[in-house]
Amino acid sequence: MIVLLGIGLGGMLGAVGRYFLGRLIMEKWKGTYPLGTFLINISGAYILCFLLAYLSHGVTFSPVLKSALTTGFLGAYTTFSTFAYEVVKLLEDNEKLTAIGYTCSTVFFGLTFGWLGYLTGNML
Amino acid sequence: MDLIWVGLGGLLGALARYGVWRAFLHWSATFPWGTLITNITGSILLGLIQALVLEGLILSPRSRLFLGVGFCGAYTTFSTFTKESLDLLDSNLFPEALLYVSGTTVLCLAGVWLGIVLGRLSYSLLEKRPLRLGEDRD
Repeated sequence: MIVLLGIGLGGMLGAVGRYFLGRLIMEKWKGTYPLGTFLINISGAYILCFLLAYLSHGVTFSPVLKSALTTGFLGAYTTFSTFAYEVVKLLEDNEKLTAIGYTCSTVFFGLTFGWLGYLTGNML
Repeated sequence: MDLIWVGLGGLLGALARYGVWRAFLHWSATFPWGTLITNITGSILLGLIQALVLEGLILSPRSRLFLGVGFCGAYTTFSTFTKESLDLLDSNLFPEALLYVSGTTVLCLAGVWLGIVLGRLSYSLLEKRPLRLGEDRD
């Protein structure tokens, strides 16, 4: 039960953080490339992998707090549906090159930064 | 005020994702079915909501914050998708990793498109207007 509470609260903060940061970035950024969602997803992938690697070797940590941070906060902070919607919207607006670039860069840098998260988390 | 709706949607979205993840846990020991199904269904729902809000104005902008940004945003996830892809690669399951990455991407894009079409279809049925798709929008 307490795990559900942690995931719910983490999800609430993650969604609010994504909304807040996304708006902040898109106020400054004027291009058609959806930089807000890109930076949010990449940073979330890095932090999740870093945290899981760091917590996997002997660090004593509350399982409830771990679920709240990983499944709750980082799961909700990053998003796949908004990313997919932005790609479809770019295609509809005939921004084909940006749509392809956005898709490839999100997947590529997501995996790269996730991997870097594992590397740095295991080093500490 | 906006933040309350986004937060409430996020709370429910994260819990729903956890529920789906638990429900599909026994499907496979290696392939992350739960996240795949969450991301696809969330993409369909977001496409539907966006079409209804932006095109039809059936839903209010506030429900877009609650359902779209909050719920769908938190229900679907990119960080777990990345982590699971890397885990498949780490276990030397290369075909599964390739299938997971490309399958999630292609099916979520198709899901959003399907949601948008369903939204526009229901709106044009309600308004008795011809269905507008892609570039024939006015």
